Amino acid sequence: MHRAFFWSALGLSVALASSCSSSKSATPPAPAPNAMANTTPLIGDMKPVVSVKELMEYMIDPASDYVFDSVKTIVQPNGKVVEIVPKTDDDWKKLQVGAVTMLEGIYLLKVQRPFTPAGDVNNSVGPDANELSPTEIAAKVQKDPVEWNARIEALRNVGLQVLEIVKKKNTQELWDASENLDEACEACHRSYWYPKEDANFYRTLDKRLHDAPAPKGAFVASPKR
Amino acid sequence: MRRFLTSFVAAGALLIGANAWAHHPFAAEYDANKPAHLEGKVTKVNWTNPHAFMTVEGKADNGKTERWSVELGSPNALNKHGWKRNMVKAGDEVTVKGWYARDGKHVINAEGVKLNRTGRELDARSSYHDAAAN
Repeated sequence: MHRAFFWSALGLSVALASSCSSSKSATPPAPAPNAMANTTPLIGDMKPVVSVKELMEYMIDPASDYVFDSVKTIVQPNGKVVEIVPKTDDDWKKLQVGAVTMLEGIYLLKVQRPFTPAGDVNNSVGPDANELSPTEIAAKVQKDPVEWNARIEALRNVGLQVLEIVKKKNTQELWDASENLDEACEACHRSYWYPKEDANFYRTLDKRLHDAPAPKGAFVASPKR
Repeated sequence: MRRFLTSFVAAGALLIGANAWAHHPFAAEYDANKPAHLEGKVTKVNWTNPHAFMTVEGKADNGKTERWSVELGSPNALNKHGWKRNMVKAGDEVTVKGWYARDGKHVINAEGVKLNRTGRELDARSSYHDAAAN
C-alpha cells in the first residue's frame, strides 16, 4: 500500500513538476536547431538507474567534492599554513570535470525516480528518527512541486557559477562559490531530508549539552539561546 | 616536496574524511545522547567547506590521550561566530564541547571550543544550526 502510494505520489509530483518547468503542448515540438539552447525536448525516453539518494551518493555528492576540495586552508602540525587552490591547468581541468558532472547530474533530479533504494526508509523510524521517509518526501514534493524545481534550479545556478569561475580561473570567487554550493545543498536537505532537525531539536541539544555533567575543571559551553 | 605535500594532504583527508557525505543530518553521524568533552592540543586545522575540521590530540571523557577529529561549522559560519583563520594554531591547547560520533570513531561534532591560552570561548556550530534555531 505504501509502495503504491509512493509511486503514485512520485508520478503525480513529476507530472506537476514538468508542467511547472516546461511548456508542454499536445503536439510534439519541432526539432531544436541547437539542443543546448532548448531544454524542453528529449531525444528519447529517460530511464533512471538509481534512486535520488543513490544519485546523490554516487554522482552529485562526489562531484561537489571537486569544488569543496579545490580550495582550503590547512594549518599543519608544524604551524605552517598551506593554501590549497587550483594552480595548474590540470587542477582546473579536474575542477571542471567535477563542476560539469555536478551540473548535469543536478537536472537528473527532475527525472522520475524513487527517492531511496527499495527497502530503504531513511532514518525515519525509531527514537532518533530525524529524517523523512521516502513516502513523506514524495508527499511533500507532490504538495509543492514548484519548491522541488526551485531548489534544483538554485543548485544548478551555483554549478553554472562554478563553471564561469573555472573559465576565469578566479580562486577567490571559487571560495565564495563553494560557500554558495554548501548553502544550496543544505537548504534543500533541510527541507526534504531532515526538516525535523529544527529549532526545537537544536534547543534540546543545546540544553542537554549545557546540563551534561562535565569533568572537574572542564569548560562548559555558554547557552546561546 | 610535492609528493610529501600530496601524501600529507591525502593522509589528512583520510583522517578527517570520517563523513561519507559532505552534507549529512546531525543525527546520522552524531549521538545526541552522548555529550562529548575533549581537552588537548591542536595538531591541525583544515578550513574547508562544507565543514572545517580540527585535529586534536588530547583526553576525552575516558581520560586517554588520543587523536580526535573535531567537526566544526562551515568557514563562513565560523567567521560569523568570530573565528579568524589564524586564531587557532597548531600547538594551541583547547577544550571542546560537543557530541560523539555514533559509530564510535574518534570524531566529535563541536558546539563550542575554548582557547585555553586566552580563555576565549568560540561558537563552533554550523550556520544551519543557527538558521534552524532562529
